[in-house]
Amino acid sequence: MRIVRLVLEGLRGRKRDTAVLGGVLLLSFLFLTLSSILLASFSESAQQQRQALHGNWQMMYYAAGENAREQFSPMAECGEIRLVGSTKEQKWVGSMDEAAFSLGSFRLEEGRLPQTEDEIVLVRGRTKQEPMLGETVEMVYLYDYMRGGGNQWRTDLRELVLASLRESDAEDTERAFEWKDAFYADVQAFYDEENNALSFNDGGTMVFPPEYDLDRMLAEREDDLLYVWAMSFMGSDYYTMPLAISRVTAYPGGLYSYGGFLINVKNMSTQITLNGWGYSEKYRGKCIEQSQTGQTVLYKTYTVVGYIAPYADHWDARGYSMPDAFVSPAAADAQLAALRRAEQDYYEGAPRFAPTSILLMRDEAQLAEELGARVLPVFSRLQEPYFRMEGFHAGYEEVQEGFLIGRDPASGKEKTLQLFCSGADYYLQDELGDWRRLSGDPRVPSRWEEFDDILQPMQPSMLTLSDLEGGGYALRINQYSYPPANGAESSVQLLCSGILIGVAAVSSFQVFWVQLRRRRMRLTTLMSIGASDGQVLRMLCLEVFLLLTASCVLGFGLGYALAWWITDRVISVFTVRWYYLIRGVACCFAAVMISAFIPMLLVLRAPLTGREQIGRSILRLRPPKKLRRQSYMRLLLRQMRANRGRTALQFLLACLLALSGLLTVFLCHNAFKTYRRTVTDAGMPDYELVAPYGMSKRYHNTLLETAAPLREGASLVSVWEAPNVWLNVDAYLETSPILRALQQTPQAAGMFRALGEEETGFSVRVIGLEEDSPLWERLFAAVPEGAADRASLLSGESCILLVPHYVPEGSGVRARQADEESLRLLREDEKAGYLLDLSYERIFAAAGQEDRAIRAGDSVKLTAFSQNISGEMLWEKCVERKLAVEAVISVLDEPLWPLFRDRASHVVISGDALVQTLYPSANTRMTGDQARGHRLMAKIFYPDCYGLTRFVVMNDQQADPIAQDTAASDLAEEYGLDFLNYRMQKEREKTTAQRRGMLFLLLGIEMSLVISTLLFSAAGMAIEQDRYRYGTLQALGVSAGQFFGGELWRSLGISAAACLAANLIFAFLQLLVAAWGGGFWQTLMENLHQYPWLVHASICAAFIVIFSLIQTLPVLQINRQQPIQNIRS
Amino acid sequence: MENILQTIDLWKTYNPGTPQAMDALRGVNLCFVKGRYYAIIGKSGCGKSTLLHLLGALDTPTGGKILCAGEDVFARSRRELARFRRRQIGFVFQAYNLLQEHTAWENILMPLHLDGRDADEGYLQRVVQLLEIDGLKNKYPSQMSGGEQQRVAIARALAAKPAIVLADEPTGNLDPNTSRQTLRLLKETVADLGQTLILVTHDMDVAEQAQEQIRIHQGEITEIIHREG
Ligand SMILES: Nc1ncnc2c1ncn2[C@@H]1O[C@H](COP(=O)(O)OP(=O)(O)OP(=O)(O)O)[C@@H](O)[C@H]1O
Ligand SMILES: [Mg+2]
Repeated sequence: MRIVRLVLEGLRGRKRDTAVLGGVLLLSFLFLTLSSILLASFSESAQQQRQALHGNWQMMYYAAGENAREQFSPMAECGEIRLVGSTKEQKWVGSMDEAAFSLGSFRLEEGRLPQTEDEIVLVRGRTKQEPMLGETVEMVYLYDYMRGGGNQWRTDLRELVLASLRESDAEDTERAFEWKDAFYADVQAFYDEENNALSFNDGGTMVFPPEYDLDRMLAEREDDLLYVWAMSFMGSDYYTMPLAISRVTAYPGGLYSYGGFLINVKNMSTQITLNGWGYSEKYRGKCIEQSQTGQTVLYKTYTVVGYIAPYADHWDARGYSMPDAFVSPAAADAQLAALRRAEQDYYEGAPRFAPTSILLMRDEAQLAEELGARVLPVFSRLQEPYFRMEGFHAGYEEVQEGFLIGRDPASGKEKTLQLFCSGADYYLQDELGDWRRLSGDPRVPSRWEEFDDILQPMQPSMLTLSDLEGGGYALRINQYSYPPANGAESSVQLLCSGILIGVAAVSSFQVFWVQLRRRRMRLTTLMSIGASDGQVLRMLCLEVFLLLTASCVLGFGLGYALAWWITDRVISVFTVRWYYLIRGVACCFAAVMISAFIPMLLVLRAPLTGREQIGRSILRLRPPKKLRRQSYMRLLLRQMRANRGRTALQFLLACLLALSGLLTVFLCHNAFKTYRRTVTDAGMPDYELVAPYGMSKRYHNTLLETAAPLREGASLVSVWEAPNVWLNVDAYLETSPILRALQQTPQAAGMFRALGEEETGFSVRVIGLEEDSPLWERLFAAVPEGAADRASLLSGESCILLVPHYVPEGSGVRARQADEESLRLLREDEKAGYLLDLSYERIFAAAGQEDRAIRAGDSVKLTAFSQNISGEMLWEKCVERKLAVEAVISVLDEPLWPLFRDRASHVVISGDALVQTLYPSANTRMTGDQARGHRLMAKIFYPDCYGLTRFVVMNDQQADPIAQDTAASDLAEEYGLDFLNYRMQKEREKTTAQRRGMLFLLLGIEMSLVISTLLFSAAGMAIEQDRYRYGTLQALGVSAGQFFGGELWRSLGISAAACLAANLIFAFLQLLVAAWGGGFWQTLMENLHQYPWLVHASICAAFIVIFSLIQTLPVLQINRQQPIQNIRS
Repeated sequence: MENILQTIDLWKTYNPGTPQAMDALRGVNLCFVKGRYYAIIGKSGCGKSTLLHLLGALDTPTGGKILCAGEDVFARSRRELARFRRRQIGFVFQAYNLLQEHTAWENILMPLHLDGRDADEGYLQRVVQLLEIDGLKNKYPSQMSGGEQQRVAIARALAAKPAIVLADEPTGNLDPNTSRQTLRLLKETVADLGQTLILVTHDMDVAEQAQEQIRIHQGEITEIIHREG
């Protein structure tokens, strides 16, 4: 007890020291608590945001098979939405039970949930005319059936074939045959007129000449069969008769046929291929992706009993459809059972009809954390076993051969067997070379047992959590499911706490060390009168412990209160993760205790004579050679030199203070880097609506009229794009660094192709703009005044060429380090332009060089291709155009989406007329319905063939985002456009950046406060130590003004030097980071892009002021004292 | 007879208004004449140092005045006080109070330089020779003995040719021999320049040599002894 009193008295006696050490520790604990709570609250608020968006579930399983619920329900609260079917208008009808309703955070706007079989609730805003409650609504269910999709046979696809459909198909087919004959005759007549023979290619394909006026022909037959559908299917019993025709008006009533020919409408503008036999699976594995589809129609009438608030934009469903209407579970069961019965009617060997559900799951015991252990195996098990078919190709006559890949029954390893088929007969060759006859396609599960002694299906591989994070799977995890230890948030937390604890430890070491050195005399006196080492040590430890405990309690309390105050104001979510908080506080406690222990041991080793050692630095001072007049400044300088250690420490702390300010600015700025890069710099729009065909002006205008609600709060820019266009680059290959580099990149081989004899084409993007497109002004701003002739651009006779600047490396172009995103693009597009360091951005222009191979005034040749998927022939040349280049642009001041996203090389921009001439009939007369059907077909059969129409939508600042989302998605829905919503992504990037910035700010403030405290204490102690000296100088007649002025100049000098040093370190760090991060200039400029230099400068100025204040304030106190008081102290 | 310093009813109370209040000086009236040698003697704790500090304007009195050439010293501004200390007073501290970072020679020149004046080389040379610290010029205080430091401190006090030299037990830390020698030197130098020397001492031998002995008892002047010669 006596020792406690002694310690307490000691602490009280050394008020200043106690205050400083306590202050530093208090700050550390305060910020530790604050940052921990804020981080937890941030992630909790993100969690709540997610919950609002995605519902209360932790895990969601789209497309769950029938037994999935049984598997999951013992381990979790489980809500199920059974997908009853898709309807003509409503898209999807599901069932809704209580659990799903609460887990999915649905909200009833009106009415109640359905109870009987003929009741339904609709989702608000998803129907054209919304019936009143109590009114009836007729649902027209359309059941697709698909057979054989992809390389693997999957039974979980919705498959159904009904007998009635077969009949209607037969009718359709008959009509198709009729039409075919007429068409065939027409073509024949054309050839006869032109005195040409029909030409056949080696696949037996009749090549149809481009001069043939298809428009006329189609116009003539408009009433009859306007559109010709081509269907083909593989991997079924019928694949030797893979041909079908139907007409679009028959869709969606039924698309099902057989017959002996294929009318392959590839590119309506230029050619029609009549194909006899010989359709082969060989074609780059792509046609295997296509499936036979058909539909069954089912009519049902319901009474509307309620409306559910729109939720479609709240669920991160990606490719999966969300229901737009809900019936009761009982109604769903009854309907699905009925469909089952119909299925039984179908012929042998057909895949099972497999209805699916959306399962919403939640488990108090943190389901997500146990995902790996319990759920993933279940989910993996639910993935179907499968066989792979490879290398299938046409053999002699009707024979096809290829390989079936599965698993060896004995070893379990992958095994490949040869497969051979003729007609409907399949033969599998075992290891001994014997052929075994199978009853049908071996990929159909019911046949597996016929050969399971030689080959078994492949088992899906076990999934991992990181597989799921990507979201590519039907299993989704809500925020809960990311275990905190792996999350990015917790690594920030760790970093944060690490820095705070480090600062606490280092600063308490420093303070303690200085203190003990000053107290050494007293301590050694204590020891010389008989105190043992242990006693002294115990005393010191107790001292630190008391201080620590006090500041810990106080800091924690203050931090808690402050965090509460901040979260209350900023995010109104307050969460404490006690586990992390307490662990952090304990670590801090331990670290400070240890760092204080070292000075204690050092002090105990001091000699007992009690004599303060004369500063060694004084002894090191060499007598000045020439005596110079001593001004007070000189005196100060001498003093600084004499106390080198102290001066150095002061300088170091000053540097740290300045640096912590500057780094905070930089890190906060850097926190927004991704946001800038992906959003502001790229000019990321809020939505992109893409029609996979060139839209006619008239149709486009109709669309714009419909889009009025969307355009009220946004600007909409439409562009026409023509893919599969090749620029003749023979003349430029030698001189263009970009082209040369691409030519040498193996991945970019696909970007070049032979256009004919000795002609090399380079794949370019062609963009057509309408006359009043706002993009023209931006483009004209980038070219010299009057250089571009507007009229000829608009007529599509000339173009502006965009060639990005590149980063030179050696004699070539530097390649970018391929990040995940660009690799993905590369794989998807089979293009490698993204691999080179290309950019249109002003900030990189200084580091880059312009590719001047093609100059303004040149004439370039474009060749447009169409893509044929049948037979061997892949591409066909359709149009060649010569274009004058009006200007070449390589730097654009304002971002131009999507050029700034993927840095495409060589983009031809012209009027929309150019795109039309490249694909002359791309703008055929189409109604919305036709366009939709057309779109589906183009997407399946002729990717990229017809060009694109892209609508880029940027919301106004004050527009209501949710309303805009709905308007945009409705528009996309109505016109069958691909809808890309970037708004959410932008929002997410922004909040992420803001949160990160806030944390850095917090850390920066903490660092600055702690360093300032240390500086203040160091300054105070220095003055204290020097009081005697000051007193003497006062006695010698130095005035208060001189003291103050001297100190001011000195601190200004030190702070200016420290500021300079901090800036140098800052620059050095920048260079270091730039040297590390790949492209030096690129990284440097990117890091400093839009850097707030003004804030940087203000921080420097503020630092100098603060430092000078800290240094000079204690002098005032000295000045106030009488000389003798100072001397006596 | 010119009064260079005069104290009028000088009071000094330490910690006034507190229970520890302590009257160190109680109404001291003294006149110091230019060029004379004064010794202040008295028991330990009687207020000698306090008086000296007040005379040197190192501290402020609680009551009374000090007149210098008929002018109240403490009525001056802080700046003028600093100048007063710089130009008029040379103070020799009991603990020398040399600036550790400066050589002996720099220490000696310090008052001059702080005043922006150049040294009178001849004069300083003489002082240094008298004090026998010629060889110490480039040494730092920490490299000197106590006596040497004391002599440097004396030289510093004399450097600016102050009218008054105040010395608080300048020989307190020295052995009798050195102490005597140092005092002799001080006395001679002061006499040489016609300065007023006020010296606090315990040593009666030293006090005997003074022209005036002032005896203090518990903060009051009890006796002033004039001695001619
Ligand atoms: N700063 C102070 N605070 C309080 N009391 C003080 C202070 N300085 C001196 N005293 C008291 O004032 C009285 C006179 O002190 P002073 O130093 O003048 O004595 P002194 O005569 O010089 O003694 P010595 O011969 O021991 O040096 C003493 O009793 C002392 O206790
Ligand atoms: Mg004394």
